[in-house]
Amino acid sequence: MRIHCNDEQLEVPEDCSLVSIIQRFNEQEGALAVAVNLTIIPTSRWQLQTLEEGDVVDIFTLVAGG
Amino acid sequence: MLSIAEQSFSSRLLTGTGKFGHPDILKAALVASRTSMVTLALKRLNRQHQQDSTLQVLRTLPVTLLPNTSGAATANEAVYAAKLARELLGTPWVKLEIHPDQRFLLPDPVETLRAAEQLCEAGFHVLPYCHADPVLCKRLEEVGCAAVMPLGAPIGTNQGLQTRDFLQIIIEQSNVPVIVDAGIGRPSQACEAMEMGADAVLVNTAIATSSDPVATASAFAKAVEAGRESFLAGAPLAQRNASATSPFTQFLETLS
Amino acid sequence: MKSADALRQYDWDDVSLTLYAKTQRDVQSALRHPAPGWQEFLALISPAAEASLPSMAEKANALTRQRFGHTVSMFVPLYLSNLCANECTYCGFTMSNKIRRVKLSPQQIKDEVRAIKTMGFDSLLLVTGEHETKAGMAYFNEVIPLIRPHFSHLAMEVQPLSTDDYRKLVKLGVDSVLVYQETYHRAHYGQYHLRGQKQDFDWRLETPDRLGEAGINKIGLGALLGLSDWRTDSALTAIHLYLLQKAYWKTRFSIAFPRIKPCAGDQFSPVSDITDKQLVQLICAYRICFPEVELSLSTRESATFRDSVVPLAINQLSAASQTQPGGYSEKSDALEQFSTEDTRSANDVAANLLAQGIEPVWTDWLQQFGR
Repeated sequence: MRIHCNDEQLEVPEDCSLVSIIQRFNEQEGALAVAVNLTIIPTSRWQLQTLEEGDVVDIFTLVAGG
Repeated sequence: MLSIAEQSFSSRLLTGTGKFGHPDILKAALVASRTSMVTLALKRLNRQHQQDSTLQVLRTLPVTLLPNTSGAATANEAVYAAKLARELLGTPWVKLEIHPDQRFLLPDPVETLRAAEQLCEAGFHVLPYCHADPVLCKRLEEVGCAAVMPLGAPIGTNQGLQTRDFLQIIIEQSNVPVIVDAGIGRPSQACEAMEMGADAVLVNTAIATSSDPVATASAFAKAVEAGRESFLAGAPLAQRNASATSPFTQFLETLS
Repeated sequence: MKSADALRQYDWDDVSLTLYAKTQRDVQSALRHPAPGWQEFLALISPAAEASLPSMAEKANALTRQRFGHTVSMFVPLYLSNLCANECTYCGFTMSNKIRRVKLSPQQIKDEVRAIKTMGFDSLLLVTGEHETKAGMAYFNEVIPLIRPHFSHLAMEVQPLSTDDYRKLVKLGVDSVLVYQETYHRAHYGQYHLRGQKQDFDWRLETPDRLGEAGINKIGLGALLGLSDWRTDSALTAIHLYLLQKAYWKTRFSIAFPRIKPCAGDQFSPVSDITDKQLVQLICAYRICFPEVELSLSTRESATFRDSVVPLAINQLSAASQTQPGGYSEKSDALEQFSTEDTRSANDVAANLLAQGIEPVWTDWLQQFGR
């Protein structure tokens, strides 16, 4: 199925979990915030959240800024 | 000691982490600045994303992290960003920054007030970046902001306290800390803000883009301390002679 | 109660010592200060500043013109009732005084309003003694609507009310409420106020806070000069003003300078005498340290004094006042609260002002939307 992730379209398996998407980015622990369809998903729920066709996933990190 | 939202901070110099050349320089500059509160921005990851080590660096320092909502153009986006940052860091602190104007990066007062109200209600310690508008600052204070952050001049311009007359009014009227943010280009300008009675200043560009960020950071630290001491001591005044006689006040002779 | 709580931290003796210790150097410093604050106010009202009165007057005048132009607002008091449930040793309306007690009826009020309008006034101050049951909110609810449509500005000086009652007054269209602490010296206050609700020092002290909470447009403060050391009382009035300005940023403020004057009844003599020159010093100190605050002078003061001092730094003036209930439409034989010194007609007072280059303003043009 198709989902959006950070402005990219991704082709993923039907029962894809959120955590598998996050792992693609190879970021350190405690460095990411994730939202699905504008709803923030707490870290504790990443494992449990499954994705559906057309879901919009946003993955944020903190970077330098004023 | 600077107190914001009932938390104490040893330094009245807040710093930003943007525009530095290298994480080592960033770290050395922050240490030299003796800052105790540092801003960060949120960014979406992309495929070509290079690891940004800012957060890693900051976690090795005794500083409070202040995520900002830079990039947000509306109240809704800012609230979203603040919640993302809270989820990431587990912190109630947020620097509310909404600039739909991408040329001058001037803050949107309407969206900022709306977002501030929502975020204060959601339990955030909101530090709103805003224009040096005394009434706006009172409105932000009224909705529960932990401090106000009026600008001295547009971001990155290093023009100093262009808004000084209004900063003075804000400082006089405010019941929450006043942190002058944006536009401070030289340590003397930071000193001036503190002498006027500002509670703190935030400096980013002036340190990050200087040819020697570490030395500049140290200079800013000293300037902020000097300005604060001077303010507390009650600075001496410029001489202005008041004329002592005038026919207008002659009637005073006739009074008992 | 934001300002009252902060105010209670100030110790009378400490304030007194500080102000009496001010030197000529402090005074000069205060006069040159770009943004004089409370410490500068203390210096300017101290004995050390007496010699600098001409400089103070010069500066006060310049600030007044800059802020207010060449105008002075005219207002008149209408005493609605002299019923009073307090025993105050310095006041003619004190409850034990066997005087004829009057409370104006709606018809009498209409007559008074008509008479006052012919005098030219458009700004009115309603005054009552302090009697909650006989001249309280029920009475105000009844009479204010009769009065309000005829004036562009309506002020009240009555007993301290609750925040809710003040909210109701705001809804009825009251623009301003004056409440004077009389004296900020707690012990003296207890000696002057022997019976009645007015005995409660703190309830009175918190009144401006309740007014601020209720969203009243203007709050009038003051001390009755002479009840205690006038300088220290003024110092505390000033700090009260600072604290209130900080707490209620949308409100404007006025200061009055009532000096103890003889009244019928008890042989009352003031503790502290404030001379004419000292009163001018006080007025100038306020103007210098609070450039935006409105300063008010009543007909308690003589014509000569008012003619010289009003153009200096005063913003509001009453004229041709009757300080007993009624008295405008018919001669009243009820007792005056205090005797007035300047008994000139409103037109005469206005003419004198004009002759000095000051325009008397009768109408307050600040229209309030949604009233």
